[in-house]
Amino acid sequence: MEKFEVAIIGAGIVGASLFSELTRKGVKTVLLEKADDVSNGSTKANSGIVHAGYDPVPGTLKAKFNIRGSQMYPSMCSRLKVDILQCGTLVVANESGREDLNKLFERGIKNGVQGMRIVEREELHKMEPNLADNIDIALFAPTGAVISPYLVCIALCEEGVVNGGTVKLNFDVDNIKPINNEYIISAGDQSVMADFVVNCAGVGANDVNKLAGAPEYPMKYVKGEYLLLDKSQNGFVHRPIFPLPTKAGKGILATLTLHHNIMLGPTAIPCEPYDTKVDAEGISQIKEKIVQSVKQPNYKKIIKLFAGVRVVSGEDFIIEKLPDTRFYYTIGICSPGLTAAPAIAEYLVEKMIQDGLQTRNHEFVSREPYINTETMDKKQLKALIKQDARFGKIVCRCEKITEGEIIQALNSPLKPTTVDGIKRRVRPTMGRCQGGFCLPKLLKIMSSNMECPEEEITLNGQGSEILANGESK
Amino acid sequence: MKKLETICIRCPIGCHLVVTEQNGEVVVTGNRCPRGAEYGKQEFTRPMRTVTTIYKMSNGDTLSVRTKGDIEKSKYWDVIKTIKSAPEPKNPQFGDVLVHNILDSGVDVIITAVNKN
Amino acid sequence: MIKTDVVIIGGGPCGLAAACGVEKSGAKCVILERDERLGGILNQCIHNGFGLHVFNEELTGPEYAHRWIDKVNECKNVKYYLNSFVYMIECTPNGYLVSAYNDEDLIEVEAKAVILALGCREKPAGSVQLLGTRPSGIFTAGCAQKLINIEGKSVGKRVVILGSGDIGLIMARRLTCEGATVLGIYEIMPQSGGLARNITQCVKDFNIPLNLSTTVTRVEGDKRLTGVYVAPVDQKLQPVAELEKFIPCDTLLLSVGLLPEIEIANDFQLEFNPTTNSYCVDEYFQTSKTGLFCAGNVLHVNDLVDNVSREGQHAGECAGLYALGKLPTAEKVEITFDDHIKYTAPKYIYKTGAGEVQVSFRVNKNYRRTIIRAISGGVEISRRPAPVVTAGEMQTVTIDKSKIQEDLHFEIQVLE
Repeated sequence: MEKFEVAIIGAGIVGASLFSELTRKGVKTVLLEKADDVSNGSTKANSGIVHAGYDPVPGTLKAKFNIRGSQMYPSMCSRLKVDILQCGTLVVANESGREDLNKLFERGIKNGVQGMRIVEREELHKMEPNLADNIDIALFAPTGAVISPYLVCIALCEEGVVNGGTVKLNFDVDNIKPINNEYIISAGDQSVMADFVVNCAGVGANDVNKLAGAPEYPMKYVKGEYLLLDKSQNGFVHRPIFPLPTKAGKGILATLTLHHNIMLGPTAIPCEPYDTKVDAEGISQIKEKIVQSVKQPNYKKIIKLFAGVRVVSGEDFIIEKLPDTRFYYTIGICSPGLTAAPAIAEYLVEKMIQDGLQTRNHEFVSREPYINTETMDKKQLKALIKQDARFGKIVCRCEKITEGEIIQALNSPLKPTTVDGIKRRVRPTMGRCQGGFCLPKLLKIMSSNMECPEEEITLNGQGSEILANGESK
Repeated sequence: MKKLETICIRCPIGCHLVVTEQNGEVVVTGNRCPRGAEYGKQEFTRPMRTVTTIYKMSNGDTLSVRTKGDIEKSKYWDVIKTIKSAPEPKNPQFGDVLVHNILDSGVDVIITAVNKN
Repeated sequence: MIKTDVVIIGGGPCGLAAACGVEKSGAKCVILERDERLGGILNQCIHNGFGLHVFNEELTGPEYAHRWIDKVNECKNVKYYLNSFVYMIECTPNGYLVSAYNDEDLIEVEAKAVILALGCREKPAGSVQLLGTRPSGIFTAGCAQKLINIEGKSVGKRVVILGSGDIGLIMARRLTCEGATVLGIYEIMPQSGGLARNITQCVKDFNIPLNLSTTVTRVEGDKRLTGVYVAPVDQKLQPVAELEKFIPCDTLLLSVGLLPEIEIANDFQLEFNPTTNSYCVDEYFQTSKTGLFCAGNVLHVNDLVDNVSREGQHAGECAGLYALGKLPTAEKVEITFDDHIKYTAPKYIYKTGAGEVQVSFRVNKNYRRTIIRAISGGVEISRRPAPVVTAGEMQTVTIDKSKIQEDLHFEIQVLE
């Protein structure tokens, strides 16, 4: 049986951050994920925002890790060679909201947020010409940023792998057995051993705690639905635009993705775990609320509806250890979890060191970024095509993705095997035709690279095959 | 009196045809051109269709094929089956005949495209 | 860098005809085609029904393309590049510089004129705000058409089709012939968006249920599609929730509309028509930027490929003449029209005197017993009785240019 120093259960942003943190400290680590790819839960479907940190109540774990996380992101992204758009964020209000906005500002100061200021109407509408007319003032937080949450998560996992870590996919933990000072963690007939176990299972965190004999917590599952607009709407907003927060959360915002799509959402609807259905009520809620902050978006340009589930447990994050053991758990990592994740990882590693985890000097290996031909100038592109003709063959016309870029993703450290896996790495099927044109080509390339029939290629794992087999009558 | 109401498929206009038999003579109304009259009569007496489909080669290539003229509508499925089970052609080319005189209809099945996969 | 008179973006039916048009004008041109062969979407349209107007016979898509490719191959001054994906059009002192990815080299073509002949794309599930989960098994009809007809693949066994555009109707027949069961076609509008003959020969011939004023409300299935909910809609096109029912199926095809592929020219901020989702053109198929032409399905989605070819050929001739400095210009007249008409293409004509101009338009819904009239200077200059005009069918009127005064107005008189 393979033996590790640390086993992490769950390859979302928290697990991935911890995986990267540990492997870079020379710790022999395994990251266990039940899905066929990393970043498959809450991490893949959220607003993709690094929050400045004015929202959480001072003194909470949320406040502490949000601030630390938002400070870590810029250097982390540059280390991972992934993009971050440091555009700042706006919380907008009309005159009657001035007092609440000031309170938010003061809370931000208490939490240690740098550079915030209140922006008045004239300047504000110049910054964001598509704000709703009744918006008078805003809180501008320049340290807020936009990232691709799944790409950061994937990059963290890849970094862990190139630094000696192990990722086991399709590893749906069904048993955690303490033996002497170690744990045996099993999924079906596969098992690994580890000195430390960390539960980063997100929506499944209670199930994992139960297996380890740790307490289960009251959990609320909250669905967030989104509308994604075509990149022809680029410029509708230039940074995330939040309404004033309420008890229910940060509200429905208008934001942009790193690839210039406009995104509207999320709703906050109580749901069952893993229920990512988009409902009519959710869509009408978004449409009704969004116009309180911005002008009417062009709904003809919607290219995708999607939803993610986040798990909320009480008012704060729960980051604990089962007493007298080496089993740690993270529960209720809802917003600002994406921002907080690297800081949570840092904190967990400190705790494990206190409990006897050995770190060692490790020669850091940098992750290879994905080549993106769209960002190249003509000279660079010419040279690349001469070197490898596959970078001259466009597969996805909407996002301008070449065969070379797809092959590169297929051969990347985690070797994604699904259409969604390739999509999250290099974006084919992500554009305005949503795969209508490139899907047949993509299947061919994947089939030849993976040496399997096209009929076996799935959208997101077994059971989601895209083609059917042969004739039926 | 036998009566048939149908939409002409001879061109995209889609004339609404009424076909009746009066004293042994088939009469078509609603057509805008002689092709419509001809279609209406045929649809009344012996409906005919052009069949188009694909033929899969063992190497993964596909051939688009069609009947070079119309065949009886009642034989549509038999024609499809015969095409699908036709012997595999060697080095098929655009315009080649895949099946001669299919089901003794006097109509050939020709290759309209060769798709390399 | 390649230098030529006209560069044509797209080698489908419009681009091929445009090349023939440029040849006729005496100018030179280059076609940049993104696929590995010419013909565009025609290659996957293996059904018959193409070419009745242009060749006076019924051909399949690939055969129709073949005819035009033969014509292009006979042209002395046409060159084409395959596997060449245009990603940028820039202005230069000499005209335009068009850059394309190509698997041998980055291609750059400088030309005096550009013809956009990019065709259109299908609307995805998101654009109709399809609710529910996001499983595999949901395809646009054209994507399924390519997988089945070109690649020889199977997309599913039990299929529901949303939308009754022509591609949806044609795929209902194709799927049936390939062994799948088409459980039904659902159309939110009270009438089909497809041609009447396709309803006869693709749907009725195969006893496929066509449900009008009914739509797919949401989909189910976590991995593969397991079924769809359908419901009739009220007069505001809103689904009636109480009448919703579940249909188990493994595949959903979408035939919910086409959008012109105009994005390559977005940066030029050309005059735009929200009705066609494309640019406005003059009688030469020239956009609001001189030397930049636009024809075929990228201008407005046509129902007949023959019309696409006709437009392409005319645009090609005009672009060629423009490049040679021989295209006459004069005062522009903007075409106006009554409420029955949704738009006209072209939007502008020139008061250049002689010759004829063809004006195409679509009506907003189906009418019976109508007269299509063109009026200029208060005088009726064209009159055509039309027993049936449908929203799906493009109307074309030929106008004698010598009769055009200061204005040109189209109207439809509805007698019934």
